Amino acid sequence: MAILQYLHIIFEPLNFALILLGLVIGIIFGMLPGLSGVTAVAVILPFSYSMSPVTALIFMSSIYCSSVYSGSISAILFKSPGDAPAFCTTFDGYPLTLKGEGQRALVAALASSGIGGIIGILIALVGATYLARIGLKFGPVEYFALGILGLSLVATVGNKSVAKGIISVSLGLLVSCIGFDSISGIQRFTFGSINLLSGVYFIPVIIGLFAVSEVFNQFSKLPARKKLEIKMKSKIEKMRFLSKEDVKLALPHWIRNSFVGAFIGMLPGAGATVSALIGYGISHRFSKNKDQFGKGAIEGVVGPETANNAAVGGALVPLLTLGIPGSATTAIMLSVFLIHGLQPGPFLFRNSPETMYPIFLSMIVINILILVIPYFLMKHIVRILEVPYEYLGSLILLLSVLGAYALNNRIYDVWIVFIFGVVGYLMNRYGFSPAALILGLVLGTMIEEGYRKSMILFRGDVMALFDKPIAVVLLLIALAILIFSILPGIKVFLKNLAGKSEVAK
Amino acid sequence: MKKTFSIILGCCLIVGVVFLGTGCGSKNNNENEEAVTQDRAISIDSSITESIDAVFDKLNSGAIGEEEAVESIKEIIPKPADHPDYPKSNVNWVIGWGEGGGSDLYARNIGREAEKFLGKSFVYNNMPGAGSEVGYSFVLGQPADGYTIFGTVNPNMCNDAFGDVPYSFAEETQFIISNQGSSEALWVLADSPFKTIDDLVKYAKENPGDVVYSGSAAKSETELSFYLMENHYDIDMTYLGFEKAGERVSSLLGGHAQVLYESVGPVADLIRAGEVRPIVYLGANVYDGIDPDVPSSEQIGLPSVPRYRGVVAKNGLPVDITEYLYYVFYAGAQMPVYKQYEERANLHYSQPWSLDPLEFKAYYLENKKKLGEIIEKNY
Repeated sequence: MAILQYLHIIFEPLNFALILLGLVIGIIFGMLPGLSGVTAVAVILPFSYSMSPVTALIFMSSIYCSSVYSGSISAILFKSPGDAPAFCTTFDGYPLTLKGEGQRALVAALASSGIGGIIGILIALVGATYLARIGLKFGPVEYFALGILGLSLVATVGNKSVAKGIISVSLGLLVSCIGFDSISGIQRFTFGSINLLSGVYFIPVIIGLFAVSEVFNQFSKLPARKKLEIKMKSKIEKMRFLSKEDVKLALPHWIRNSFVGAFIGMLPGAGATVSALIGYGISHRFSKNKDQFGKGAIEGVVGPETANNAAVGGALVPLLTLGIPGSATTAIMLSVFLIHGLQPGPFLFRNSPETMYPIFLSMIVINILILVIPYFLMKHIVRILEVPYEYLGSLILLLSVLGAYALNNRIYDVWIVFIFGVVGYLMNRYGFSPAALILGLVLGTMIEEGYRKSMILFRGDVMALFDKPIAVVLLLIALAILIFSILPGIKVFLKNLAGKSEVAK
Repeated sequence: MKKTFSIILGCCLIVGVVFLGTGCGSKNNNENEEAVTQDRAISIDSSITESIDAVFDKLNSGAIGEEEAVESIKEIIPKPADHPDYPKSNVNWVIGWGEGGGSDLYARNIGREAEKFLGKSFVYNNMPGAGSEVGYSFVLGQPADGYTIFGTVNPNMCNDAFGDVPYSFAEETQFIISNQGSSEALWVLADSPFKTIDDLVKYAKENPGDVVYSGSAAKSETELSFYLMENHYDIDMTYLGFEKAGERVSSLLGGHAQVLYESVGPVADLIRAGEVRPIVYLGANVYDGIDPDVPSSEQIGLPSVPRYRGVVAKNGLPVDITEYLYYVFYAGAQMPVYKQYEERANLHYSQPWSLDPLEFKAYYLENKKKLGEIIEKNY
């Protein structure tokens, strides 16, 4: 418990004030689509030159943690994930809002974020050195297997028709092929355009497919929306924390997904978005109300939110023990360390505990604050829904466009948002799943590169895969999941077959 | 109720439009600059750089303070003859890479020091994508008036050599300065059986394809250096490319690769912890701070394509402004705070490295030609 001696550093006036300020900045940046924690941390980077390293890193951690949490707010209320890792939260969060249970979803997201965040950091603090070594075992084959596992876990969720689900995933995989192929260096589907050469970044696609398409969708049926608003208003008055039943439902997900999230967050080639995906899939697998997923299951909010916040702690592991950033935000934090003459790596904990422990402690404090402060603001946040949709929808469109432009300072991303806005509208209308498209897009590169790099390493010999125990186990789990999900279908098919033959007799 | 919302929404839209308006405006407000045609070639006056060096000698010995040094250097650097009022407004610096990366830090650190001589600020504009070509093609769309500059790194040269972009970087560019050179090495794990590069070559000869070499994505300077090494020693190795430094370093530490091509920065603490060690430094310098007994690639005659970093602008930049900016960055690179950043980011291993506009262009063309030969042979 030597670590607690550093607790006073966090409560020094400047540091604590910056934690609170970071919380506000993080929540705002996290909520707005396109602007993310990475943007906020990058913007304050120049200011950090004049701060002490502890203060600067505490400030950044505060922004980082709260932005990962607050992405869920807009995901739940408007189906427009504020940050990439929150996109899985829309799957069930938004249906809950439409049912008039937005507040329940928000509180569940809040509790899961705080708890996932705290457990994730504790895992990082206790097991950093050991975990980092396991993470290193993840080579190309293991990433390939993890990607396949992710696809098999989530691909089947919330799809009415398997065929349409497959079409949607394939479309995502196809989009992930656009651009410069980093293994052969060949340009794919670029048509000589420099912008297409840089590929299709998945954040504008998410903004388009979810936020913008939902605005189109709501605009196309405004009268129905009016009735919904009345329904939502009637439920807003009662403000309470999670009910006992909800806590009971959420508890196993909190524990399980914290570990899963922290581990996947640790892998430099995966990160918070992939951990939210897998967290969602795992919650679905272990849930008793599987058929509610995608239609507004509270566990569908708890699962990904726990995992993506636990990934924040996980991303710190390789940064602090090996000097390898696990995510984009930690890459910027790495430069803060360097600016202040600290070299993250095996010696960091030993040489500068007075810097390291306060950062970990502050992240725990920040997550406790996340559990408390937004809860009191929730009442007001939910009232945004009282705004008539004509105005709310226009504002979401405006923010989506500004956010997409701000990502890389180029108008190309704004086009992507609109193109995928229309694509998403049509997909929703004809029963295709935009979520499955994103799934293909996010995991496509990981699977493709993992597979091709493995084949380079194995020199084309597929059997060499069996020398890699982690990959084999992951692939077997994926296979088992696939078999289990098609088993009921096969049974029905056989039954029908038997029935038919009886009739024929 | 409705009225209030209309007003709020209206205000938001106006603010948005104003933002976009000012954004576009700042890029175009210098377009009416009087075009002065100049026929003279660029000439860098060594007496000016020497006087700048002399001031820094005084500053470093403690004879004068920083403010005094900045003032006297400002007097030494001649104002552009045909554009005496340059810069009238802030200068837009397009960074072709994301926030927090090496190119971003380079721009922001040298920019902060160079501003002191320039008298105006740099406005940093990160436009990542396609190995910085998205940002560069934006620069090509701007007037060559000295109000838009671009930070360049090797990938521009590689893309140019491969002909992957619809323009020629060499022809479209006015080179200004390069003041960061290579700080890369080939690394192995500390307990690797390869004590020297010769061990590696011997093993690779006996076991073709068994040595896995980890570096950046395809068609990068790393992959080209890989082919140069294969061709030079007539060996056969396997190349594994990763986009992120974290993934590359992990691949070595996790045993997925046996050799790693990487800058000193990402492995600095691992060197100190005794987890990795260099077997050859790439470029001319031997990094005494790491291990003076390891040779540099130039010493053993191993060809490579070392990295460089510098500042360029669109071709057509007036000669006097080119020279002026060269002196400004030349001085900026010697400021103590900048030196400190280089050291902390482990980039000081690349020093001494300073190329003026003409040397930079010659260096670029020579290396591009070298790349062309490798590409013809290996792709």
